[in-house]
Amino acid sequence: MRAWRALALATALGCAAGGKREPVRPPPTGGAPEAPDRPEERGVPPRGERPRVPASPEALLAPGAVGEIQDALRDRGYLGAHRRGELDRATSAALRRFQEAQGLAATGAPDRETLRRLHVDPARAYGRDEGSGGGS
Amino acid sequence: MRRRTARRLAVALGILLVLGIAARLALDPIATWRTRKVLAGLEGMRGTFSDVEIRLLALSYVIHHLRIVKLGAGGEALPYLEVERAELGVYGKELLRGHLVAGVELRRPKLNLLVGKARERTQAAKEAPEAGRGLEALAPFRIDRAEVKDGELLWVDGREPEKPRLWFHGIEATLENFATRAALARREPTVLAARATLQRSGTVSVFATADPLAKQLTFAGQGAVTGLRLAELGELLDAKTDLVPERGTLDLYVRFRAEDGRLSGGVRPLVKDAALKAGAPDLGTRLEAMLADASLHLFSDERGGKEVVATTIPIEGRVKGPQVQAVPTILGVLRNAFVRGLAGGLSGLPPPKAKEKQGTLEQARRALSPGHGPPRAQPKKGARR
Repeated sequence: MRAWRALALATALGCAAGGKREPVRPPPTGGAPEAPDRPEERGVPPRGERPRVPASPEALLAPGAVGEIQDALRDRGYLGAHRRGELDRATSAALRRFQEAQGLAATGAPDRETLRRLHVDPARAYGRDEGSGGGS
Repeated sequence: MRRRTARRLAVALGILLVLGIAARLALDPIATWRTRKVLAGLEGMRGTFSDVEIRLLALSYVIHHLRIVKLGAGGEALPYLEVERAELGVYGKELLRGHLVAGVELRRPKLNLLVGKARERTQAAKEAPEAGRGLEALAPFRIDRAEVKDGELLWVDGREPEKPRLWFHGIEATLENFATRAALARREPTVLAARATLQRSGTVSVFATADPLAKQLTFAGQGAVTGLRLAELGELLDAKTDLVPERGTLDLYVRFRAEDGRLSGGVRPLVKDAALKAGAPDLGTRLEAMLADASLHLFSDERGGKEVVATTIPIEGRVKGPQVQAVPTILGVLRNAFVRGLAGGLSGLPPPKAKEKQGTLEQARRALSPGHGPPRAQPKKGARR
């Protein structure tokens, strides 16, 4: 019994000390999207409780989410020069490299599982305030 | 007292361990039997596999070397679907949050589509749901996420003697939010993202979202093919037109949207530095090739030393039978022969819609006048903008 207690205590201490911690990032700020949506990318706007149906990955993400994804990729060494706030070629290529390293399908698009592994909250990344430009 | 308790505990643990091992040993044969039974129930198809594996710790179920053959069409030589490894599993983290969410991962799937002269010699994409239903029947839970890694899709036109083909490979794709309660609660659409190589040089990317529970088809998205060398479409073009591209590249951009079953969008092919020659030696085909080649040169614009021909093809219609509008398409080719502002990429798609339906002559007058923009998609008769 003493041995079990010692093991449990050691485990708890180990968790508390922690390994490499992920940097704490502030949640994305509200307001205008980093790269304003082009009208043709908005797709089908939401009606009532129905989801919006955007035509591009940028239009699927909430304001600030692209920047958060870029920060996460840069922190892990996958992203170099890029256009901040846009899902440009460099960001898409970095996403592909990250997805390959994680054993995920390398589409270059920010799907739910990719966001989770980047420690970007998918609910926040996709959760648009419909009043600030989520619909057309 | 303590020793008796400890002994009882050890015996109980021992029994549990034996039962666990027995159950684990029985699982694989049961899974194999079940898989064989489901595959035997596929209509018009026969399914085989090499091995089935249950992974308790990963909460998943793996089928190795799955093969589905359509009886009578491609047969064993060209199976309808081959998958090196199909894994169906439950997402542990979602389970901890109280959501039963399952996913399927297909590693090196290969789908072979064959257009034959007779229906029974055809392997069509519309039969894929039958195979998909078979796979889904193997999963004890509703699937919310599907992933494809290193996939292939081969389309062969068996009606032509040359048997031209289109080959998509290196397919990486994800499909999420199949209308499980978790996704609906979040008000998220179904999302498809995919990337592949077409023939040898073309890069394909697709992104689309859909409302899975809308009463009529509701979806939107975009796609692109870039850098495809026209020579790699030589067999197909030769078979269909007797023209063979000598050089040139094709970029193709498409954006689409369907709301309540109404489809709209635009397709912009950009043909760069193209030249054609006759595939067949007869005079008629040689003249056709010369005219086509001349029109490419005459009606193209010089950009960076390369001739580029571009047009925007509107797409309008019901999703059951979307029609690519012929008149605006033809006029667009002529008009864009004098391309002034060559806009690559997705900007400007879809083309704007005309306020009122225009007659053919009016469309021609506007399209060929320098002061007007590209051809506009025509509204349906009686429809308002």
